Amino acid sequence: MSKVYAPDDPQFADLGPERFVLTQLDDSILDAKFETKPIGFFKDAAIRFSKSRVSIIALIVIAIVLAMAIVGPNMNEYGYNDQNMDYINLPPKIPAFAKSGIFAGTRVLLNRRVDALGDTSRYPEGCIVHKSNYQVINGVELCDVTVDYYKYSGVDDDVYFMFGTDYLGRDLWTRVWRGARISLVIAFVSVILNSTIGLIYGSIAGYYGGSIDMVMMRITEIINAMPTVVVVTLFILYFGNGLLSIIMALVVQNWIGTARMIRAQFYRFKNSEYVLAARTLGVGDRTLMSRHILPNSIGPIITRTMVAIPSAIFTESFLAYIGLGIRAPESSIGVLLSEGQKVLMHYPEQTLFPALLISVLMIAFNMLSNGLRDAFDPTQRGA
Amino acid sequence: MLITLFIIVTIGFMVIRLMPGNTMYADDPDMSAAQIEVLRAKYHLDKPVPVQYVIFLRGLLLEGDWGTSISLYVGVPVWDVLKAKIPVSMYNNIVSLMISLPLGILSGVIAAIRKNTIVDYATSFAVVIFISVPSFIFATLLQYFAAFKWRLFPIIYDASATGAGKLHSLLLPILALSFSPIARVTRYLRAELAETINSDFMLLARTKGLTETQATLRHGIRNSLVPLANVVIPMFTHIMSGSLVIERIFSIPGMGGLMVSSINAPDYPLTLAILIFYSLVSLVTVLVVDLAYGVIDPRIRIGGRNIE
Amino acid sequence: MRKRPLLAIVLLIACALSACGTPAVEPDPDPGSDKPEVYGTLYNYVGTVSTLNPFESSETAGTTIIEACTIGLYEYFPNKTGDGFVFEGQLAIGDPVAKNDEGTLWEIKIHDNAKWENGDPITVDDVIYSLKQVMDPLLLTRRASQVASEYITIKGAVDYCQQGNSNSVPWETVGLKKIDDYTLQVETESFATVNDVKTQFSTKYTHLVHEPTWEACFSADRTSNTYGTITGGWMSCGPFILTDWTEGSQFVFERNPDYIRADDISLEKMVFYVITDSNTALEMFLAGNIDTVSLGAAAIEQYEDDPRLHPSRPGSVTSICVNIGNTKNNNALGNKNFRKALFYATDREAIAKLVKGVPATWIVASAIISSVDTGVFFRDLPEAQAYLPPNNGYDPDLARQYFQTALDELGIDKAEVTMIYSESSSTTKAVSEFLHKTWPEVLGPQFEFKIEGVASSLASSLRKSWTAENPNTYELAWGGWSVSLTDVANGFKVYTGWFNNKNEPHYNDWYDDLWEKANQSERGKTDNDYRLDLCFEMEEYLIDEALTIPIYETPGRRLINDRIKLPLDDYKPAFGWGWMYAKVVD
Repeated sequence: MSKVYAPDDPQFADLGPERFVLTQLDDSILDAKFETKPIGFFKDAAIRFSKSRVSIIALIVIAIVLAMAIVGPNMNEYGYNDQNMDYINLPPKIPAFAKSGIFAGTRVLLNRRVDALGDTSRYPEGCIVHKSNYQVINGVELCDVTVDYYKYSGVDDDVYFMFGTDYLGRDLWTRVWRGARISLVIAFVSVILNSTIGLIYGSIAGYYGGSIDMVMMRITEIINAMPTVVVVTLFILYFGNGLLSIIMALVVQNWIGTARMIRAQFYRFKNSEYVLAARTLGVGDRTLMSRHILPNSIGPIITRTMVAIPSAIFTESFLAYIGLGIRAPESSIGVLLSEGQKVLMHYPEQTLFPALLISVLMIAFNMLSNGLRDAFDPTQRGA
Repeated sequence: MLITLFIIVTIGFMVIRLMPGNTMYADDPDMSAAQIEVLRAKYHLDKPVPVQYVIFLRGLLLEGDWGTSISLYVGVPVWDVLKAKIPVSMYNNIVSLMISLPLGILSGVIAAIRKNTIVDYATSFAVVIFISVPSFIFATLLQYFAAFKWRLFPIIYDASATGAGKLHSLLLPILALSFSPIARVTRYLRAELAETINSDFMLLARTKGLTETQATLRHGIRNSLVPLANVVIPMFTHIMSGSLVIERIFSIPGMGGLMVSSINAPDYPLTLAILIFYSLVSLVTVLVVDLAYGVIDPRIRIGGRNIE
Repeated sequence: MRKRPLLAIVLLIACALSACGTPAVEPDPDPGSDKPEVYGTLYNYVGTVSTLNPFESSETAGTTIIEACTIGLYEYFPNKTGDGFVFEGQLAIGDPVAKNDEGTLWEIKIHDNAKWENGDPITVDDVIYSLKQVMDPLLLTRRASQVASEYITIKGAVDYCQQGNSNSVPWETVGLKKIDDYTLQVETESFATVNDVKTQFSTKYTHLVHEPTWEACFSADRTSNTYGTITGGWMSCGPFILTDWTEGSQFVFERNPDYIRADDISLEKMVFYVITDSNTALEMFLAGNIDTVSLGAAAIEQYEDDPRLHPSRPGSVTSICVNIGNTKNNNALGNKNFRKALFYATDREAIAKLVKGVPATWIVASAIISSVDTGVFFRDLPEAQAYLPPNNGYDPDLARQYFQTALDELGIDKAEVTMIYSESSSTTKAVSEFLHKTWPEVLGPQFEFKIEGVASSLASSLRKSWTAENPNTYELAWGGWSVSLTDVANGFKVYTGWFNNKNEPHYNDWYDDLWEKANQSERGKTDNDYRLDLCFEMEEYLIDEALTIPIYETPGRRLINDRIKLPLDDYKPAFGWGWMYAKVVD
C-alpha cells in the first residue's frame, strides 16, 4: 500500500514545515541544456530535403538546365541570330550518332520523280540514302527518297548542328538554350510578382475580412471576370511586345489565383485555437499574419509557384502562337514552339527539342516542389 | 454585382475605344475619304468618347442593343453573332468538362491513395506532360496521327453531321481540349488530398478502423473539394468560350477565333460585347461557386464574419 | 487519296489505251454535243467568310462564293476550245452599246429567261434595285464608292451615295435608267469605252440581290442589312445554288439547272470547307477529302516534284513602304539617296530562297497582263525590263555610296530606322529578321536598324494613319497592293496624290498627270501602246524614287487532285482557276 500523507497520521508526526529548506531562492530556474546543437527551421528543412533522392535529382536537373541556359548559347561558334541562307531548315546531326540513322542529318523527301534522281545538280553525289514507296501519279513515276540533307543542301561534311537549324539557317541548339534563358526569366519574374502581390493582397483580405475583404474581392472579381484572351491581347497591343510587357501581361490576371488561395487559407486558420491563443497573448496583427497563419500556406504556395513557372512559359507560347510573342529576333521557348507548330508536318524536329525541354523542366519543378513541401512541413511527407 | 458589372462595362469601353491606332477601315483600299467620314458619323465614331459611351449605354440598357458589327459581320447585331457562335463552343466545352472532371478526380484520388507507388509516378508524369506541352502541339499531333494517319476520325469538324456523327467528328478537338483540365484537376486534387490524408481527423478515421481508402473517400475528398474550386471555376467560366488554337486547327466555327479576329479587324462593338458577355458569365459563376463553397464547407460560412 | 492504288491502275490502263489508240479517238469532249455530261462533286476549301453580302464582302474567299451563286452583267468564261477565256455577258446579252458619240450613254440588253432559285424572273428592275442598294446613302456599304466610280463614273452616283441622311439627292438623278424590262441604260460622267463599262459591271459588288429577301433583312431604321450573313436570308441565282451554309464550317452548292449558261457547268455539286490552318488543309488534301490545296513556303520543298503541282504567277509584290514624310533623323526617309541605299542594300536572292519566292525589283506584279486582248504579261515585255536594276537590285558598294551621300546631304552622322512587321505573317517576319541582320552589315555602324513586331491590325493602321500634323506613325512597314490584274495602268493609282488610302505620303503632280493621261484621257483609253508607254514611265519613276522598296513575290503553288480537270489547266489572271467549270474525271 502506498503511503498517503495525512497531518494526523503519527507516522508523519515529525514532518513539520520547519524541516523543509528552500534549495534555491536567488537564481532563476533553468531547464537542462540540450546535449545536441539547436537547429533552425530552414536548416531542419534542408536536412530533410537532402534526404529525398528525387528532390535532389530534380534540383540537379534544374541546375543543369539553368547552367545550360547561361552557358549553352555560347557553347558553339554560332550566335543566336547568325543567319545563313545555305543552312535553312537542316535536320539535327550529332557527330557521335552519324552512323546510327537517328540524328544523322537525314530527311525523307516525298514524291520525287524517279527519272530525276540521277541529276547531280539536284541530288549531289552520295546524298541519296534510301528510296521507297514507288507510285505513279498523272503517269509520272514517283518515290520517296531519304537523303543526307546536309549533302543534299551542299553543306560541308564537317558542319554539325546538334538540334538542326531554323527557317533562317540559325543554329537551334543556341536558340533553344537562349530561349530557355528568356522563358525562365519571364517565368520567374512573373511568378515572383504574382506570388508577392497575391500573398499580400490575399492575407489582408483574408485576415481582416468584412468590408475590406468585400471591396478587395470585388476588385479581383472585376479583373478576373474579363476574358483572359481579350485582356492579354489588349494589354500587349497597348504596351508592345517587349519583355516587360509580356511579363506584366502574365501578371495582370494571374495573381488573383494566389490571392484567393491565401485568403481561403486565412479564413481556415484565423479562428483556430492557436491563433486565438496567440492573440490572447497580445501578438499583433502583422505578426499573427506573417508568423502564425501564413506558414500554413507555404505548402500550397510552393505547389502553386512550381506549377506557375511552366504554365507561365506555356502562356508565353500561346502569346507567340497568336503573334504576340517576344520581339524578334530574340528567341524563347514559346516562340520556338509556335514556329515549330507551323512546320510540324514537315520539320517535326524543330518542335521536338523545345517541347522536350519544357517537359523536362516541368517534371523537375514538380518533383522539386514536392520535395520542398515535404521538407518544410514533415506532416505532409509523401504528399 | 451590378456595380461590378458597371465598372467592367466602363473600363472595357474606355480601353477598347482608346486603343492605339484607332482608325476604322484602315486596310480597306476601296472607300473614298468622304465615305469614311459619313460612316464614322453613322457609328458615332466622330463624337467624343464619353458621348459614345452614353449612347452605347443607353442602347444597351433601354433596348438591349449590344451594337452592330461594323467590319466582320457588317450589319449583323453582335448579339446574333454571339448567339450563333456560342452553342458550338459550349457543346465542346461541356462534353470536355464532363470528361475531364470525373477523370481528373478519379486519377487524382488514385494517385493520392497509391502515393509514391508506380501508379502515382506514372500519373504525375502524364500530368506533367499534359500541362507542359501547349495544346496546339497536341491538337496538331492528334489530328496528324488519329485522323490523318490512322483514319479513325474526320480531320475537321463535320458541320452537317448530327448526334453520334457530330460527337465523332468533335472527339479529337474535345480530347485536345480536355488534356489540360484533366491534368490540372488531377494534380490539384492529389496535392490537396495528400495534405488532407496527413491531418488529424484522418488519423482518427483510420484509428476507428477505416482503411485508408475508405477514410479518403468518405472524409478526405470533401475536404479537398474546397480548394479544388480554385481550379474548377475557370473551367466553368470557359464553357462558353472556345479555344482559339483548337478551333482553328479543326475548323470549328466557335468563339475561339472571334475574340482575336474582332480585335484585329478591328470590330469594336463586337470586341466590347464579347468582353461584357464573358465578364457577366464569369461573375455569375463566381457567385454560384461562392454559394456552393458554403454548402461544401461550413467553416467558410462562419468565416465570413469579422473576427473582431 | 483513299482510292490511290485503284486510281493508279485505272490511270495506267487509261494511259495504255490512249497510247494504243489512233489519234482520231482522242478522249476529247465533243464540242458539238447538246448536253454536257453532268456529274461529280468538287471538294475545295476557302478561308474565313463572314458575309456573302456582295456589297460588303472584302475577303477573297467571299468572292469565290459570291461568284458561284450569284450573277452579274459581265463575266469571264472559258472559251469553247479550252485554251483561253472570253469576257462576255453573263446576264447581259452582247457588249454594251454606245448611244451617243461622247461615249457617255450606254445601253445593255439582258436575258429574259434568268431566274432566282425560287423561280422569280430576273429583270432590269433587279439590276437597278441592286445598284441602288449598294449605293444607298443610309446603308453606306463598303463598296459604294467603287460602284459609283471606278472604271466608269456613273452620273450623279457619287453625290447620291455620299449625301448621308440629308435626302438632298434623289435616286432619279443617278444615271441608271430602265428602258424596258430587259434593257438598262447607263449614263457616265465622262468618256468611257466598251471595256470600261464591261469591267465595271463584272465586279462582284455589282452582282444581284433578291429584292424581297433583301427588304426583309433590313433593320428597323434601314441603316443596316443582314442579307447573306449568319442570321439573314439569302437567294441564289448563279451557276450554282447555295443549299447549305454553316458559317465558319462549310458551303454546299448544287448545280442550278435554270442558270442561263447552265451548259458551261458540268459539276453536279461543290463543297467548300472553311479551313484556315495550312497543315489541316494539306492533310485534308492528302487524305483525299479536298481536291486542291495551296502550299505554303514550308510545304513546297516536299512537293516540288509532284505532277499535281500547279504554279501560278504572283499577283502582288511584297514591298517595304517608306514613310517619306517622317521627320525623324532630319527627315532621312524623305531623302532619295537614303531610300536608294536601302533599295540596293537588300539581298533579294537570299530573301527569295528564304521565302521560296522570286526576287522582285519592280512595282507591277508578275500576274498583271498588259492587255486583255493579247494576254501578254506586263513583266514579260522587254520595255518593262529595260529599267530594272541589275543583280536584282543588290549592290552593297552602291548602297554604301548612296548612304554616305545621304548622310552628307542630311548633315547627320548616324541614322536610326525602325521597321514594323505583322507578327501573324511568318514570311514578312522572317524577312524582317533577315534585313535586321544584313542591312546594318552592308551599310555599316552609322546605320542603326530596329524591327518591331505588332498585331496585324495595328501594323496596317499605323501605316495608314499618318497625317500632315502627325507624320511619324511609322518609318518602314510591309505592304503589297493587290490591284486589278487586267488593267495595269489603273493599279498605279495607289501612288497618286489623290488616292485616299495610300501608304506613303507621296504627292507629285507630274505623276498624277501621267496617271490621268493613261486612265482617263480618250487616247489612254483607246491606244494601248500609248497607255503602256505611260505605265513604263510611271514604273521607272517609282523604282527610281524608291518610295516603296520592292522585295519579293511569292508565286502561288497549288496541288490539284488528278481526278479534277480544270477548264484551262492553269491559273489565269482575271479568270482565276475556274473551279466552277471543272470536270470530274474518275
